[in-house]
Amino acid sequence: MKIECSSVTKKYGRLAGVKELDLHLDRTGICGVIGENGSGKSTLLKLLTGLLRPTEGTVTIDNAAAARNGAVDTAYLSEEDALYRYFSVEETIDFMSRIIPDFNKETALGMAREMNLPFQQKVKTLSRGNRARLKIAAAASRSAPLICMDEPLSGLDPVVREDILQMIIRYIDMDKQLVLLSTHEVREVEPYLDHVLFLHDGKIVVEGDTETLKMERQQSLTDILRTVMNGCG
Amino acid sequence: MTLFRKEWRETRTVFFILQGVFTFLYLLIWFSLTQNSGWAFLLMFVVAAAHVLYLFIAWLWSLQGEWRSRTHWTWLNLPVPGWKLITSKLAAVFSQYLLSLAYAMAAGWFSLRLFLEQFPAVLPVDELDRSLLSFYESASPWIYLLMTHLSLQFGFAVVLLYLLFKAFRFLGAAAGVLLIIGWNYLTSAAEGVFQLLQFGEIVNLSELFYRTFSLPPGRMMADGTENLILYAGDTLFYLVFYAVLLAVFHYLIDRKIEA
Repeated sequence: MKIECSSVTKKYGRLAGVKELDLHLDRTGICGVIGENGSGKSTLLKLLTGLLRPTEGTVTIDNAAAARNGAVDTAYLSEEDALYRYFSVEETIDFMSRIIPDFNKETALGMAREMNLPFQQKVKTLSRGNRARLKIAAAASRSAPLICMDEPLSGLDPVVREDILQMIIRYIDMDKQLVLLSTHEVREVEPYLDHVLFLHDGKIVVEGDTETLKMERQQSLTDILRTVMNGCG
Repeated sequence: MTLFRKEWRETRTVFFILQGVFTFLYLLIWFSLTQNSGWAFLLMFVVAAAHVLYLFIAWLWSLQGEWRSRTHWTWLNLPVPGWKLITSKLAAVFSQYLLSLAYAMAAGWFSLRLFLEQFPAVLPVDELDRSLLSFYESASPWIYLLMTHLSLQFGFAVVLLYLLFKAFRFLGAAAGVLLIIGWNYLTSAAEGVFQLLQFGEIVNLSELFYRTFSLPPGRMMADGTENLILYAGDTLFYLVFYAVLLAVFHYLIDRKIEA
């Protein structure tokens, strides 16, 4: 999966979500998109999945301009509760499997079983943790080359967060898929990340392989984030 | 079909509630007729107007519902072409609209029959009574079609405005308003061009009316009443027109719209 962002700016009115952002990524595995609130993480993921259009610059995925109709190759998991509330867990999985060609129903059902999700319960009556688990099951059951997960751990208790990270590791094909995972829970995700992008004020300020960065800087990712937030990337 | 079923499920509660409201209105019409009250005609007008507006309100409500319930992130990330996303919504609300209109027309037929049975004195000639019912029966399919066409026009216009707004914000919506005004101006200014489409007469409603009531055809001209004729050319034109608009919607959803 080849991602190219060239001088990308995305403005919301007068405010810029990302500013003249450049990115070249050609790899698979799990890539952390890390930054404080308002650093442009969500905007970047939405631009990559074609859910937003850049105000300036270009975003290409495998040499094609990122657009909504690229959803065949790019899956997006929103930080919001974006599943249909009137479906039950089972109906959600069934709906996805009928609509999304690369969706593996058996994998999704297996994940749901493993996480003890109540199959007949409606999404609207699920607990917050179970809704998050179902979202992950829906996203991780896709074999799309790019999966963008926007704050999948946000606001969840440690048990659920651990569940989610384990699921990503177990079910994502690390040789064929690239997972972009935005978060500010750096300490927790650190062991799982192959690559990291640090964003600050709408720009990528640090980028590299996790282990290389840690070795070069002699810092943990949390310390790097702290440095970045202080504007000394 | 999966998307169509999803859309039906999403909108069915409102649909059944509306049918309940309409049923209440039909009962009120029936009651007003038995009381010889003029309210019946006002209520009939309300039901007809509601059906003209039904499609655009239901279609827009369903589309806007994705944003309202925050499911637009999922909806827009479904790997299906934009035209399928939008036509599945249209198909669901359109089927509901057709059912609702059929129910309204049936209720209209019963009301008319009841009216004629209850108050034969209003239309003293038996022949005329039968003619009125017979006209309603023979014109019903065409009235049904005419109302659907009117409702579709509203629906397409409003959805175009909404999608333009989602793609280009206020500038898009303003451009959409100008487009719609421009189109209306064009259709009235270039009347001659549109007359070229008036070929292949399918039904002449005015003629049907005058024939049913055994009135001389010259009378309608003297009244200055225009002939209400459905042409194959017009129908074909509007089918193509709607297909073009769906192609525009497809382009906007796949390429321009922002979540």
